[in-house]
Amino acid sequence: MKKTIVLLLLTIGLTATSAFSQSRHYTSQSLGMGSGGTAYVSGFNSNFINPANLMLENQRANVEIGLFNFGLKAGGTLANVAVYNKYLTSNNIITSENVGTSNESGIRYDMLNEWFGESSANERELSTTVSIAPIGVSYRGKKQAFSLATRIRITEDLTINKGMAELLTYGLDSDKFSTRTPVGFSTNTISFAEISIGYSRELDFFEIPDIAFAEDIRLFAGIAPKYLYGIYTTSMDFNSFFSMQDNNIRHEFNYSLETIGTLSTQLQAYEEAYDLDNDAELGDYVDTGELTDDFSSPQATGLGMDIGVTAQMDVSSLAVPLFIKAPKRLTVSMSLTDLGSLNFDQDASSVFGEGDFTYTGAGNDDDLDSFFSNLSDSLQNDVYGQFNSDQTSGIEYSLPSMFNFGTSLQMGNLLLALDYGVGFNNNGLNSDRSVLNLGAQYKILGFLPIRVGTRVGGYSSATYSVGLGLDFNNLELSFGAATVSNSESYGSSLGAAWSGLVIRF
Amino acid sequence: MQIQKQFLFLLATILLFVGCEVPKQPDFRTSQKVEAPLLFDKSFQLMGGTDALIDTTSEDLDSLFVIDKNTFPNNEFITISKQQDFDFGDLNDAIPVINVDPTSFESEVGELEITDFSSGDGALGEADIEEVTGNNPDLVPAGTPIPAGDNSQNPVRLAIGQNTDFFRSAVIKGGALEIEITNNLGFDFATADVQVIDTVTNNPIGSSATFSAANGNQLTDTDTEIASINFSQGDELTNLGVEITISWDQFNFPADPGALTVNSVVGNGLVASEVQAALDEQDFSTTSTANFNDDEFVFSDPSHFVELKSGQVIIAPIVNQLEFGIDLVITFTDIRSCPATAATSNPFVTNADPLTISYTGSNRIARSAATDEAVIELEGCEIRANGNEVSYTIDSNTENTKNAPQGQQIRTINETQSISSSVEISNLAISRATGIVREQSVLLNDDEGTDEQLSLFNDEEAQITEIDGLDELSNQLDNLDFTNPSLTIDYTTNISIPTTIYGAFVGTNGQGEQVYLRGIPPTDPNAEDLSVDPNDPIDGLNKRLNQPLNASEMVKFTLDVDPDGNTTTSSIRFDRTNTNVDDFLNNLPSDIRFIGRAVINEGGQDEATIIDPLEFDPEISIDIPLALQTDQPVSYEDTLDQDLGDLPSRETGTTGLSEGRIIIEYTNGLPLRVDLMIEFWDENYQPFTSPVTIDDVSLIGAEIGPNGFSVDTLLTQNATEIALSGPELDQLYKTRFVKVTASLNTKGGDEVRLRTTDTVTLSVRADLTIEAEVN
Repeated sequence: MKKTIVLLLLTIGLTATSAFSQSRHYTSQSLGMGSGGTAYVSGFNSNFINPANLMLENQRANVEIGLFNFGLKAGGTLANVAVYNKYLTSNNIITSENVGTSNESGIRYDMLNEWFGESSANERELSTTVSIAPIGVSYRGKKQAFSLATRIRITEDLTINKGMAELLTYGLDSDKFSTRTPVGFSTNTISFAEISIGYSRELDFFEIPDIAFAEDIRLFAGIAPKYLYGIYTTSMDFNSFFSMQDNNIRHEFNYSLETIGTLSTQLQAYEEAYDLDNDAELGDYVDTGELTDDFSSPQATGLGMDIGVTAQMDVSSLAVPLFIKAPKRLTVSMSLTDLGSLNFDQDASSVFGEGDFTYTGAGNDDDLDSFFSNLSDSLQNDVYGQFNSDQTSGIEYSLPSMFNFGTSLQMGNLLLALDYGVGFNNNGLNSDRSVLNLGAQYKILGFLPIRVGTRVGGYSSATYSVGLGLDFNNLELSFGAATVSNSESYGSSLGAAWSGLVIRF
Repeated sequence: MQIQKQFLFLLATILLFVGCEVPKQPDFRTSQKVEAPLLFDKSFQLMGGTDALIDTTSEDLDSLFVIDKNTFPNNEFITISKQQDFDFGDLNDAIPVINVDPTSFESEVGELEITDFSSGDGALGEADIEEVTGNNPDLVPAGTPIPAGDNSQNPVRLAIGQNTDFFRSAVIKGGALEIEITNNLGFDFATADVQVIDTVTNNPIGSSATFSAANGNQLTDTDTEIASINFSQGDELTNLGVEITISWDQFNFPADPGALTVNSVVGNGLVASEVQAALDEQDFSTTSTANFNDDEFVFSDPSHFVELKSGQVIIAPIVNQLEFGIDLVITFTDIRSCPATAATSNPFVTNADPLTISYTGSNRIARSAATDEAVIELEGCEIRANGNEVSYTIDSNTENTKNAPQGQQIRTINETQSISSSVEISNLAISRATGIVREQSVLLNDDEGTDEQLSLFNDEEAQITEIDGLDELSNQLDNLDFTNPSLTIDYTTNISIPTTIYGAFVGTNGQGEQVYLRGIPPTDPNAEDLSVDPNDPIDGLNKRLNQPLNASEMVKFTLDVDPDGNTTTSSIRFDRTNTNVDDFLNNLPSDIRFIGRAVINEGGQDEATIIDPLEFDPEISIDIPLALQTDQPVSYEDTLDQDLGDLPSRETGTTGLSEGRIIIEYTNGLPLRVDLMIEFWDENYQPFTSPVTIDDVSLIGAEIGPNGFSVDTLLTQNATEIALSGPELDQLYKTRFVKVTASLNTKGGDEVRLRTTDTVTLSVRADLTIEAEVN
């Protein structure tokens, strides 16, 4: 009992610390165990976490085939459930008093400050990644292992600043926007597929002596080069200042849009037509229904790689309470994942627009019959739709590379794991904030795994996760889910994963 | 122990997730402001395009207003002006109608008078002295006394028929035959009896004649005497011969005796009922007359005529019962100046002026035959029917059978044989007529039932003219007092005859109020009196069936005409000096009904020219100068379809307007104060249970200068606000109709005038608070 309490305190205590980062591949097991896995995810899934783990004998079968592995993660500082629960679930009127003065107060004022901070320029982010592994196969021999795995990743990032949120919640309020207020947002969408071939072997070229309580130390190294197939990408960044003075509405803005394929050519065609005739309308040139044409051919190709090393040792001699008699195996791993990049170069273009638009209502030069009915078209075509576009050599996308370090301790039916990671960029759910993952799995009756875990740091607040399922020697069907306990500081996170059908023999 | 571990792990898992943050059910309300400028210093000119207060380019109003730049120079003064075609009835009914009764002619041969019996000049017969006395001159010497004696036993018979080659026989009705005889025998006849005989039977025919001293006509030597032989009806002259019985006294036989000669035989009043003979050409002629009625048109002077738009002369088949071919010419001396079309309409027309139809030459009417009916078109012909008569002559010539081939010269002719036909002048339609046009009174509208009764409120009979544009105004404006409106009828006509229109105009406005246009006696003695007297010819003009119009509900006017029938354009203007048109038009009629009667050539004694078609194309125009005064406020009322069902309301949903204001800053250049009230109504045209009304919106009018125009330098600047509370705004979704009531005031009831350039400048902004509930 004491051991259990210690374990819980350790788990919860660690979540309160500030450790950071993640964009790690996840399975239903790793999501349930806090999104780690550097030292325990094996089989074809290890291609994307640590290829060296292909040699791990966590599963007794040598061959593993997986179908339709699916996972979803979403989260970020914009998904602030704590603030949401505090202000938006108690029948409050989201309003404030003394708007535009230093004495402003009220729910709306407090809520936005807690969500975004005081500055209207502060940004909050929401990211979503969908990962689908249609099929994966691995084979483990005595000294080496091979695998083939596929994966499709779709990542969507949305960032808005506080000014944007103020515009949404205050409306067109001349008191609030009596001064220039930054209003901006950005989005980024990318999807690509990977075909990864993994290879791992035991480094038995030299003999590793036993070290203290560690015996039978084995060292594995693995590498998984992968072919990258770019499906689609687009990103937009919109920045502006909004103000209302003297019965005028003023919007100073600039934006950039980087895109490829059909949308890119459509926008360029519109720009060309608009330059010839100001009556050209954006809607006549941009047909979103044609965007799916881009999926029929690769928009980008590239190569990537995942590499890792894993050391596995027998630590059964360790006297761990409750598991004194149980065999114990310690695994320590390091990996570098998602090395590589993609260049989306099919009709790539960069669109840039800027303007300083002041709306005063209909004036003497305006025809009342058409002014208001044409207002939205006019804004779309003549104000915000006036842009320049340049063809570019492509949109470079660096994979969300990470350094991963992990260790796991298998004690009978209990598996404990600790991971640390840090991203090399902030693409998608990746973050250059370090992330620490703790996880545990206990297999009841040896085939009913109960998984718990936590993640701290990274793109959101501390995340807690659980996982359940069936895990037989030859068959696995399991799922995992994750959420946060307090999103007030770094936002919320939500994750779900399904193992798909995993067959081992 | 194993179970305990599993329990502890499960407990840890549950605790872990219980501590996790779970988003709750959303439950909050937003309150957002929308402060939007709608108009900024937007100027609305009184009249103009789509941005003007009155869109004079709209379909209803594009021809409603005109600009008067003359009355007040430098001020484009507005007049409501509307022109509509006004479809008076067909005045062609006033064109006189002329009819001609058909006439027939028949020429019988009648009694046949026989004159000549011989084709030559020589003697018809003669006898020598031996045939007379029995003494052969070759045997009896001259000077030989011949005793008195006679030849009664052996009279001289001369067959003169052998020499009367044109005559075969005749049945005599009466008369005498005169036989000329010459005695050249060389001695005197004591008596000589002359008897016409049938040389075949030697039977006497007719009476005998005696030459004697007792009769004073003794036929002495070398004498020539004429014997007159009388015939009775029924005597038949055939095998014509003369029997001469002579007695003489003693005489000496002449040395050189001549002969007893029948020189000639001629008829003297000798008529026959039937003759077999070879006849010379016979000519005869007749004149007939066709009469025009004079009910509507009188030809009283040779210069009077009608020019025909259409018409026909129809000559029935000419029946010739005679054994002679006939040349026949019909001449219509009063049908003149026919165009070539008339001449070519029938092959027998030989002359177009006057119209002449000839059956001559190769077209001669054959003996015992008939012609086909002949139709001659009269379009373009003139009829000069002085005394309303059209006469025509028939001249005919029979065939001269003596010139016929041998064997065909002798023909039988009976007194009862004839040539017959008839002439009809029909279907006459006049294109132009000069003469005395009788007074014509025609209804100007379609007469349902042709009962000569018109009803003003019978849609099938009344001329109904809708005045586009005024309809809206009349529906929406009350208490208007336009100060000098007028109604004008412009017309184009070719009527050359004095014509007076008696009519009733009734104008009905959008509220169904009716005002009759009434002529009033003018104060100016030189002005035309448009008032109608009860004794005027206004019969048949009714409001409704059996409800005659009063003279005081009517107006009359006289058309300007050109005596020569040339097309002229003129107008009649109804203004407040000659009619009650100010009342009539201040009623702002949306439709005007009219019925009327035209009286043409009243009195009917004047010569005139009338032309078909009788053009009369009137156009009615109204002019209402926008000079108005309002002793009482002019109220403008309109109910607009306005479905605000999509408007958010907290009564029906989670989103609604909690506050709404529309702030209007204005500069008013109109010389009118406008007070506005807006009511929101549901689908039953009823206010809501808690009525929502905006009634405190006013635009103060500009200061008025000379002539009632606003003063540019004294325009009114002010602001007003339309404000609705949350509960009021929450009801607006029920709105299906909006009733707008505007009250227009002129300052102090003074007369004001409106210019096209009068302008209202507005800055409008909306200030709305939107609340939405999310739960």
